Amino acid sequence: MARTLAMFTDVSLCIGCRACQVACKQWNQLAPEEPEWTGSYQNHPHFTDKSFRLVRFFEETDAQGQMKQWHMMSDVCKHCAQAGCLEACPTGAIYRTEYGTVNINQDICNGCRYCVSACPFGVVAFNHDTGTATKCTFCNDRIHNGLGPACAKACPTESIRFGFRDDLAVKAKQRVEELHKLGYKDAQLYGEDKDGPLGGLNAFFLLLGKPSVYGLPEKPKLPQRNVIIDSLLSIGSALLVGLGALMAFRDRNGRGGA
Amino acid sequence: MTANGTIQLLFYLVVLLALAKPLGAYMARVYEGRPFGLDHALGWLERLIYRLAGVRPGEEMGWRTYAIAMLVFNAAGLLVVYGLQRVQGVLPLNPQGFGAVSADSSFNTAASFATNTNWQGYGGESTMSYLTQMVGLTVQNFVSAATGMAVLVALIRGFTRRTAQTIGNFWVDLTRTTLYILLPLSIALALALVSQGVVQTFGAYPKVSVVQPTQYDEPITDKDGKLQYKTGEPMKTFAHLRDDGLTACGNWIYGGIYPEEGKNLALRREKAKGGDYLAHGWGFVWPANRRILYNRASANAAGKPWSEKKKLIWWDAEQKKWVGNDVPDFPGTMAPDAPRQKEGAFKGIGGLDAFIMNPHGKGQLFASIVDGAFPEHYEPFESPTKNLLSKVNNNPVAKVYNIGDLNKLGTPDKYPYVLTTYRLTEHHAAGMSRHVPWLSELFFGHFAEIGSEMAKELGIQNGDMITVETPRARIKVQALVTERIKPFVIDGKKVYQVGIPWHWGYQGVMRSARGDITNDLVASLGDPTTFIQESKALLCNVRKGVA
Repeated sequence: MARTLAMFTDVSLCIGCRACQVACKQWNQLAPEEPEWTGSYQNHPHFTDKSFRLVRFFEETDAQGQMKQWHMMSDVCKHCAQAGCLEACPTGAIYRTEYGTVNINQDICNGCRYCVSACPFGVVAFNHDTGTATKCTFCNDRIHNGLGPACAKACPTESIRFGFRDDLAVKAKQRVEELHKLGYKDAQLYGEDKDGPLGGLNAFFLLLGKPSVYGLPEKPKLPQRNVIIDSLLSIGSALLVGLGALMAFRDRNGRGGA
Repeated sequence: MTANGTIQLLFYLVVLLALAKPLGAYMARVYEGRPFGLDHALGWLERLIYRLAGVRPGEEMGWRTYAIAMLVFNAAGLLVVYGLQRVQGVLPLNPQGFGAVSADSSFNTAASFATNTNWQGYGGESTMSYLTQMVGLTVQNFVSAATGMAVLVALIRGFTRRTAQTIGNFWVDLTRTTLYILLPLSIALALALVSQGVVQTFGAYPKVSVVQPTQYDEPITDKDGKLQYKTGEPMKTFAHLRDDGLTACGNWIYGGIYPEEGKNLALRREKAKGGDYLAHGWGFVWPANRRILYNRASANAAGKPWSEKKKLIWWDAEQKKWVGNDVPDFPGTMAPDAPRQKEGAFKGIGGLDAFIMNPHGKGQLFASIVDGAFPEHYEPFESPTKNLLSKVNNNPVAKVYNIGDLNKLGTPDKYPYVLTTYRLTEHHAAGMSRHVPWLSELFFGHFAEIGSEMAKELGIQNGDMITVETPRARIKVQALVTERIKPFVIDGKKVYQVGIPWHWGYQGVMRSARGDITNDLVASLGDPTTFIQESKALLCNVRKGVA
């Protein structure tokens, strides 16, 4: 396995220009969609099969309702170390590359959509034209030719940076310290910690506030954690139904037999 | 759900209902042993199967025997499908040479097909041989369905034969289901698929190349026919670009930054040394790595440097060209005494005219402006206040277009809000970006930004349609209520501001690109020197709704 590649998005540098969104659509040749009213500059409201990149806009106000900060965050597939989509995929269409990214093989995907509901971040979307699940690949074709994803290439402020994960992690920590010194006390990393939730995210973020400010789950969890308990419940109910059926047929017992 | 999906579901329901009566009656005859037509044609086959398998068809089973027979049969099927997958590598009908399917996947598939849930946890075409698909999976598609039907029939018999001891013979039910119901149905449906041209083969998979690369192979030659560039070779300077389509350049000022494959001049880090005190080996400066613009001016009329210490370029009479420490920003072979050119790219420029971008070739110290050399504050023509800094309210020499009603000005009593218009990063312009769907999809549609305090006062919610009005026009837009726009306090009074981006119009590639025209609101006033229109500071009125 090659060194893990990762994307580091520093929201303190994002200017919300959405060049990343357009670059993503252009490189991946994704069709445009009619936008929906979101009450802010953001469009589209969520990831779709035609929008793998999304700049989210949040207006943070203080306790008095006064404007505190206008946050912009370029959101993307996190290529989690413990990927819910990958674990849920029944056909093996979702796989991990030698660089640690998570992709969906469109030829093998059978369109069951388990991955759509298994993603803790709402990234995976279903394409009704091809009948397959789709998402960001970190521009798989580009990174295998040494180019880096189109979004990172297009970012004019280097808010989106792409490179080896361990290198980026060092830079990210330095940047947090820098911001702390500048007075941004809430600056923090999200998903950088390999011992953290989902074994660390290969697209990690520097946030200027709590993850909830950016609509991110504080502790993302895999839906698979429910499997054992749910299976036991299913087995229990199956036994109860079987018992019920047996009791219903009990009066025939004497008449049965070979 | 898409319309297609809904129609398919409805169609399925209709077919199911239409078939229930005739198919149900037919199936009842099959299970009750009454004549139904096909038994005449296939009866011999049914009897042959019973004889070969040692089944006594007349013998009925009690529910326990029936259940055990069913479970044994399914367990055997499970084992066969599992085994087939594990050894398919050494079995025939495997032109792709697929190896054994892994143990867990084999068990998953076998259990799933034996129970008629048919969960395919793999890509069929890239995992299973033809034999496994036919003998393993397809057979289970039949017999596991037949098992289910047999069990249902037994259940029905159990309900209807209130007093009987037996509920039929599992082997008979299984055989009759497969032979008389599933097989005829599958032949009919297979013929339908064949008629539609469904591909079926026992051959190995063919390789098809879907992209045929095209190569343009036209070398570039200079005026004398000498080879200048081979196909695909990077250009060394923008000067070599041609207007015949054979060359390409992203942005001409950066032409030559990649003089050859794999070399990026912007990455150079050679420090200044010797005469090259401008460090031409450090990075790249556009255009042509020239460090000082108009550097002809560093030499006197005769082409000699004014200063020995700061010399940039000078005229070399022997070589008949400009040479020196910098890339000349001047026609390279134009002598200092050359007359003004009559034509060509440097028309009007002579050997003394260093400022080649000006038509006269000379530098300028002053630009002419109409409203004086000293700054003064004037209020906009439409303003919520009088000029607090001077007695004169408005610029006396501003360009005011005399076009009657189209240029009426408003007063703060009728138009109490400050209006400013601007552009958004995502829309480069209007006529251009409205026709680019990837840009047009970034905003929902035409909107006006208003502060939350003002919105509350007017009862406007985020997303409401509102009307913005000036004496010139009235437009309908969606209100984007934000905390970012705060009221002004001007001369002790609170004044609200409305901001409207102007990119929308009646033409556009999608719904979100079309809307009312912001510039209809704007007054026809211009600054005295450039006539740039007043679109930043105006007055307007706002109300909820569009009626």
